[in-house]
Amino acid sequence: MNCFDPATLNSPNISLPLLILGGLFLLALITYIFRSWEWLTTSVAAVITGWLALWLWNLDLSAAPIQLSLLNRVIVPTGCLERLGFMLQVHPAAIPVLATSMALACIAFVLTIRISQGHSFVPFTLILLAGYALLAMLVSGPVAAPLITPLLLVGLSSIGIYILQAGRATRSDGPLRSLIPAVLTFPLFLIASWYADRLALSPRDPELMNIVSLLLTVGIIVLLAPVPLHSAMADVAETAPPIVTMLLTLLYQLALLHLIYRVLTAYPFIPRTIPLEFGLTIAGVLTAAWGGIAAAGAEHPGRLWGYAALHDWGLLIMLLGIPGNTNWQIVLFLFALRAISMLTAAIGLSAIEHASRTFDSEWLQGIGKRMPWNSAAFLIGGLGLAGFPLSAGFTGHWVGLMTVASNDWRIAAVVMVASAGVVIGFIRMARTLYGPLIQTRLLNENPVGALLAFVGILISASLALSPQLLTGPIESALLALSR
Amino acid sequence: MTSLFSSFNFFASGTGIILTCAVAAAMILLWDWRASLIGLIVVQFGAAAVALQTGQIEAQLMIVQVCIIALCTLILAISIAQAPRSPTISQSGNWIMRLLMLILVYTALRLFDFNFSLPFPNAIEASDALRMTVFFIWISICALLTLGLSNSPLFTGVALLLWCVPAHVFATLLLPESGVSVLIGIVELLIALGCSYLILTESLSIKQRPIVSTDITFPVEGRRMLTDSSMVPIGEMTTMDIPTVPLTAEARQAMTGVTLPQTAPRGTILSDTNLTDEPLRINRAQAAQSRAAQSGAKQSQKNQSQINQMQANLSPSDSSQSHPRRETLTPGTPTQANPTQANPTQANPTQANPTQADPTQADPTQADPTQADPRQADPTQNNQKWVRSGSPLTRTNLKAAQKPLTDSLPSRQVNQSSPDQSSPDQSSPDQSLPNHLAEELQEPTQPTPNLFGTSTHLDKGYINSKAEPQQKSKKEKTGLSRLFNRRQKDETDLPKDR
Repeated sequence: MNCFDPATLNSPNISLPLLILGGLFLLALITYIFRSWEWLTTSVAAVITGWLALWLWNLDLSAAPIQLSLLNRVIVPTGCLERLGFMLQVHPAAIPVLATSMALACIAFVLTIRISQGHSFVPFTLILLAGYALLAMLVSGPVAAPLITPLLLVGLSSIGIYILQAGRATRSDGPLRSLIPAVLTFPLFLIASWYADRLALSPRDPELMNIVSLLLTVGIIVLLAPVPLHSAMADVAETAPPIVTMLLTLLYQLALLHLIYRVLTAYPFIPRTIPLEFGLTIAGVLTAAWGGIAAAGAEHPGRLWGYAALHDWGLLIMLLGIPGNTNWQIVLFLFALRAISMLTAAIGLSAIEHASRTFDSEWLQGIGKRMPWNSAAFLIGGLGLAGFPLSAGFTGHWVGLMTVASNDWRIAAVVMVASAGVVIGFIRMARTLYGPLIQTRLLNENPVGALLAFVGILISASLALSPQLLTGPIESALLALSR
Repeated sequence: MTSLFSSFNFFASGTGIILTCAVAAAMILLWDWRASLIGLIVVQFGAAAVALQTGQIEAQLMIVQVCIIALCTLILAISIAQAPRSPTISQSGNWIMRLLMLILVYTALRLFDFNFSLPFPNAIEASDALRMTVFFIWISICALLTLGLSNSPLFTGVALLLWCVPAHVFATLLLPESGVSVLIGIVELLIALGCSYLILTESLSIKQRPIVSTDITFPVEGRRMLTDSSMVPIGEMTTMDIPTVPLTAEARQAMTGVTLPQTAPRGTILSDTNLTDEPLRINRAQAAQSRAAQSGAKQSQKNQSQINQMQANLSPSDSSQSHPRRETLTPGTPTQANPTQANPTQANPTQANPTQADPTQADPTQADPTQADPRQADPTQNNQKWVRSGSPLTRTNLKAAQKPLTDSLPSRQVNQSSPDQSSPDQSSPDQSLPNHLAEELQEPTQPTPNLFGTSTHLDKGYINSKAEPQQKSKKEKTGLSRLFNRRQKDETDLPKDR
């Protein structure tokens, strides 16, 4: 394997992991220095991450090395980077994760040009992006790559605290609680790795298989943060800047889905030895149901959004419990629609927050009359998380519910009722947003902001009407993962 | 440092392990940041001593780990020192509850024989493994208890670091050459840094949090509810939100220190609702109603223009000094002629009836606009000032300002405040007016909301600053607003006792 050796730094070859990680860290450093020029740093970061997303998505690993004439270097796409016991390589399964992460970051940066999410948002996000890229490219480490991931997630969650709090004098519950699942689970994964090493010596030892399966199952379920470990999601959505919330939630959950896929691929005996399906189904039902109930009673728009996302996440957890490759397609489909819905809601919510001064209820009342497009984007995005008809999430929820109902229709009924709770919450929010205007001093929405909201609504509506638009990307991602 | 561990070998013995477990329990029981941080170091030291006792771990690794935990506690302590004394908002229960929880957990551990065994390398003796199992399980339970009881960054940080202590020992024992222990150390530092950042932001946010009234906070925190963000001090409100408060010259002089002309005050429109011991605060809901009432301002202005015309007909000489707002402040109007507006009799709702004020009862010099003091006629020198400032109006200040006012009044004016004289029976329209104007003035009119949300009785040029807004929103009827309104009512009643 053509791994990078520090002794050969003068070699004309540069491995792709080094280029990605080094480039992101360098960009983070530069943007931190110029962080007060926020529009400039976000624009540069958006351009670079957007270009990286497109380039990685179209990258052909079997192609010849890429010549960088400016640096007089050659980029080896299949080259690997080995340092401190970690070996990184851009393998086919990592490409969809990398490209999606970069695309999400690019969209977040574009939205941040208009509405600030804090001066440190760009540099810290770039560091986080490098960390998630490292997780995706991790081939091996001091212990098996999937089993060291939770420990690295603790570090990434710790860094994420700063941009989630964003210097706001608000409650710190959300950022604080986002640390807890990863911290609680990393010892389980480390102990499991020790047992897994012993399992390699006696592969048919049922006791070892049981222990490994138990530890990993508990670890995965805790990492998924179902009810009652869910509070971080709603708290973060309530207090953190909406775009940051959207980005970090999706990056974390994408890394988590990748981790689960790798764990289930590396240890295929887990579903056979431990009722993983049962555990995930119970966790998913509880999460979806509680998300719906809590959303029905939520009055804060951020919290309502968080509970709607929790409900959607519950359905996704349920689908993870169903074995088979077909269900991974549904999981990815639902995750893509979830990302679109959260993005649309974040566009609207960030603009509303900007105008309503941290969701002051007096300012929120009737704000939809001054900001119709952004309010509509928030509502449509939120309803998409509940699978409301003619929203982006409808098809995903429909397919997911059909899959769940094929096993047990009662669970699907519970999820349907919970979805109704989310819809009730958003109907009440719509009455507030489009009710009588109290703050007559509110200005009309910015045309650029209205345009962004319109684009978000358009994408949601397009995917609601033509969900097959996602079929191609999802199939290629699934194909890449299975290699 | 290696000799340090050997000199503290006591921690690896049975008594030492019990002592370390007791320290971990004491961290929960005391629930003090000093105890927690010191206890964390002690627990880490004890865990390192126990791990070194097995002989499977190099001392340097444990030394580094103790240093990392010490550094983490230092980071947290610096943040605590930086933050103004910030007791956490989230209650962790009292020490009795925490003691009961510890007893419950300990009893459950003793009663429930779950035969849980932690993985250890074969080289470790069974007795060491058993001691370590008990020790690490107890430490982990203490960490989970702290997590469950706490919502503050400090105690959550301590709990997460406490959770990392056994994790680090296990990683070092089970994966000795992997370098995972180094990663755990880095992660611990990141956790400490993140929590210290949140400690600082939490201390900033405490002032802005609404305090939920519970049995714990009642009644001490009840008064703080009035300083909730839903209540906006006048000084912080923008011009649009400020209801106009008529004030006497003396009151203003007492508050502002600005010497006013020494003319005899002609009355007062002091409202008792404005007399508070604390800075006057105005509910946002009321401010919202004020804005809603602006819709009636046009009608009000129209009526005012009619009154202007009427008064111009009555006293052409005075019309040159007319001012749109002065029409509501015409000197000599019954309420202004009545110097004892602050008298408890004003609390009589019949006073709100404009017909009760008899212009003929008033001092002729006040009743006749042509003979009025020019400075009173001049709105710019009128002693009834419209205060927009946010200077806190306190009951003490206004009471002090009121006292000389009533003392200096002529006896006749004081007598006018008697209920008999202000009774509706004695009220009659001014006989000098033409009939149609007299009828028009006598006809009771509905209070019309003016620009500031107060109701104006246009027929008498009379401001009823106490008049309720015509429409009550749901918001006003609930929560803090209700409390605030009740408080206002209490304040209104207070002068009666005086």
